[in-house]
Order: sequence, then structure tokens, then C-alpha cells
Amino acid sequence: MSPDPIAAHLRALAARLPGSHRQTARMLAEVEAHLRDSAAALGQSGLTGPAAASEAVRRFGAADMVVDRLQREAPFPDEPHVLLRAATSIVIAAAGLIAAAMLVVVNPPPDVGWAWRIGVSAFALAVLGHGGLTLWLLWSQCRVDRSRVPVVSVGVVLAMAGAVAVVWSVHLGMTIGDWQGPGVLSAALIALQGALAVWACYPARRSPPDHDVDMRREPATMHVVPASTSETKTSKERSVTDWHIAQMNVGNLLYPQDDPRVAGFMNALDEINALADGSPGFVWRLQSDSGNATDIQVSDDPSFIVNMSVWTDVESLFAFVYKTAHRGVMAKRRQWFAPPTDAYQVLWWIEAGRLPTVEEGLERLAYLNEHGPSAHAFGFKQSFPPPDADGDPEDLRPEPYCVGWE
Amino acid sequence: MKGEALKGHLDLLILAAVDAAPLHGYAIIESLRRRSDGLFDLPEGTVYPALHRLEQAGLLASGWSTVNGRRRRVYRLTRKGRRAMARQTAEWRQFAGAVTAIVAPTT
Repeated sequence: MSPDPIAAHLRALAARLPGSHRQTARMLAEVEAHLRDSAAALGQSGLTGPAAASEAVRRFGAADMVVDRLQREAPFPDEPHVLLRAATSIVIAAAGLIAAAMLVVVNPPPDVGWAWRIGVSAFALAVLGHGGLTLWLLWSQCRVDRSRVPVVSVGVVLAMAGAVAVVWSVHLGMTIGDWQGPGVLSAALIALQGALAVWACYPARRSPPDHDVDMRREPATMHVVPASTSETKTSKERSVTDWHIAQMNVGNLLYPQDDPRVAGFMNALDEINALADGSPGFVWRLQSDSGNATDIQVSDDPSFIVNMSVWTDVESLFAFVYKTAHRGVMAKRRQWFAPPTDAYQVLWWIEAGRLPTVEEGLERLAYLNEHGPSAHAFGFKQSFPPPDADGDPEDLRPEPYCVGWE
Repeated sequence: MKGEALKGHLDLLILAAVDAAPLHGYAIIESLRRRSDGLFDLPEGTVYPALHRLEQAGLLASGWSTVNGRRRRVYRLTRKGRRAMARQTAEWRQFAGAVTAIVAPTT
């Protein structure tokens, strides 16, 4: 089943739009309504569903073009930096915690019952947990991302639970006169902190429209979809050279594709592929009618699967592989794939506009195995410049854990 | 007629399109296409940056509205927008009249 071209286009737009979630939400909602209207109108004129959606996307224009014009014509106003917001949030959480500690240490209630202890403990834990979550969100680049909303929600639920616990303890300990006022105040602080954490995670800045959002290939599968037309065009427009970078990786699955032990990998494919399709610099990926490439058999061994893709430049490819959520899936490859005996990934330059074949990829991989890195076949550790450029191979320094197998 | 030829006139066309009644982006494009007999076939994605810019400049105002079950951002002309449209229309008439006088004078 082919992915929805409109959803893919919206993802591409979302990945490129600067500004906060709040700011971009309006643009995305407008564009979605537009594309659905347009597809519906085209549908009435005889196009079938997916074709109508693709045509609507084509008429709308490439995501890069739209974002470029938006930034030139009506840029989003700056917003306070996310760190400032988060710091505020954490300070308030700390204040709540200190307030609770003061109550216990400085002014212990006369009748400390178990319910009261539980209430205050839950309160303190909630504040701590929430602060930790906020930190984690920041650390993991609190940028875009609707996918983080569940995590933020957990934080808010924790804070709310803390607030409820306090109120509960106040209710049970009505006789503890000194607790009531500060307790309610602390509850209010926690609630406020929860709201602020949400606010903090509405990103002030998305990553610039060059590298970001996705994940996609596993150490050994492949995907590839004939990228939707608009996405392909976008990538080509961005290209500054006549050369694109092609990539193939291969692997032997430890278990059959329908085995639950590799389900984690198989289930991640669609999402990762969709992310690749919307990534800056993405041109093309190998795929069958299924939308990914795991069912493309290239040898007698059904466990041997390949992945192949084309990008406008090696930096875009590198960013996708190592700097996006793709990395998380890649890091688990040891659970799903047999340790390789030879090189399992190869890069090579290809004329812009031409697409590689599986045979060509396997030939490059074999060449790399036989001759080591060269301009004909290389890897990220020795990234050769395009054929029309001068320069020495460059070590892009892929993360060691993601390179070796041990 | 493609983007380049329309450049410079897009603002006026948009203002004119929403003059009669508030419209959302897609309806504006449809209206321009219909009223120009298909001649003005805009790269649709360029209309939204222009709409946002015109709103930031105070010539348009917008709000959410649910039409046919779909939530849409509907744009309407502000008083300032109406004045700008009148001015730009006058300029356009003058310009078009001058061009016509030169390339196709009506003896």
C-alpha cells in the first residue's frame, strides 16, 4: 500500500518549517485543508484517490519552495529560547520541592500519620520525576515534535498526581493547621510547572531546514519508495552538484521476517521509511509494492536483505543515519541481524537523475570488500568527494557504537 | 499564466478575490482560476506565504471556520486592505491603460 502523498507532504513541510509547534500548526492545518480540498476536486474530475492526492501535492509545489517563500515573505517572529523556558520550569519545580521539604523539616506536623507521609512523598517524587523528564526532553532536543507529546503528558500527569496527593493529604490532615496553606501553594506550583513543561516542549526553534527529522535504514534492510514526485523534485532542486550519493547496506536477518523476534525491526520499517522520505536531501529509496524493500530477494538466501537509497549529498545522508531517530533503531541491529563478516554498507557517487540498481550496489559492496575504500566505493569514515570536486577523503566520524558490531 | 507573469500582481488579485466575501486559501485560488477563465493558474503553495504576509501587514484578517466539515482559515479584507486595494486598482488601471495605448492604440 502506498503511503498517503498528502501526509508525506505535510511531514516534509513540518520538518522544514522553522518556528514553534504552535506557529507551524496553523500553516500545516491550512495546507492540509487545501490539499484535501484539491484532491477531492481532482477526484471528482476522474482521478483515483492516490493519483488525485499526488496531483494535489504536485500542484501545491515542493515543500522547500513553500517554506522558502514563507520565510522570505512572512517569517515567524522569534520566540523565547526553549532553554529559558525549561529553566523557569525547573526552578519552579525546585521551589515546590523545597516548600515541601521545609514543611517536613522546619515545621513538622504534630500528628504525622501514614496517609500524610504517603501524600508528601508522592508529592516530592512527582516534582522530582517531572523535573527529570523535563531535563530529558531538553537533552534529547526538545524540538519539533508531536511524538514527544505523550512523554510530556506523562510529566503533566505526574505533576497532577502530586498535586492531588497534596490535596488529599491536606484533606486527611485538616488538623495540621500549618500544612494547609503551604500545601495548597505547593500543589499550585506543581500544576504550574506541568503547564510550563508543556510550554517548554513547544519548541522555540526547529532545526534549520537542512538536517533533521528522521530515521530510516536499518543495518540491513532497505526501503525505498519511489519517492513521491514532489519530494524528489524538492531534493533535486536542493542539489548543488551534478552528483548524488548512493548508499546500499545489507544484512542477514537472524530469524524469518514474520518471526516475533524480529518484529521490532519489521514494525519500525514503515515509520522509518516515511521519515526518510521526508528528510532533507532524500531523493529515492529502493522499495517494492509493499513500500519497503525487505521483500526484495536478491540472492538465494531469504534472510539476506538489502537497503538502497539516493541522497543529494553525503551530509544529508549522514545526518539521517546518525543524527535522527533512525539511530535508535540502528543501535538495536545486533538483536536482529547476524554479525557481518564483510562490509555491510557502501557509498558511491552517482550522476544526478540516475537511479542505481541492486546489482550495481552489490558490485560496489564487493569492490569495497576487495579493494578497501576508494572513490569507487567508500564509507562514512573515508568519504570521498564527488567526481567533479577536488579534495581528500573526509572522516565524517560516525558514532563508534553504530559502526562496529561488538 | 505562471508565477513569473503574475508576480507583482498577486497581492492585488488576492485582495480582490476576498473583497466580495471572506474566503479560505483554496477557494481564493479557485476563484482566481475561475474568474480568469483558467489563465491564472497559480503555483498553489505560493498563495499561503502571500496570505500570511498580507495579514501581517494588516491588509487581511483571518479566523478559523468550519466549512463542509473541514476546518479552514478564512481571510477577509480589513479596512486598511480595502484602501490598499483601491489604490492598487487605480495604479493598475493607469498602467494597463498606458500599455494598451502604446501596443494597441484604438485610433
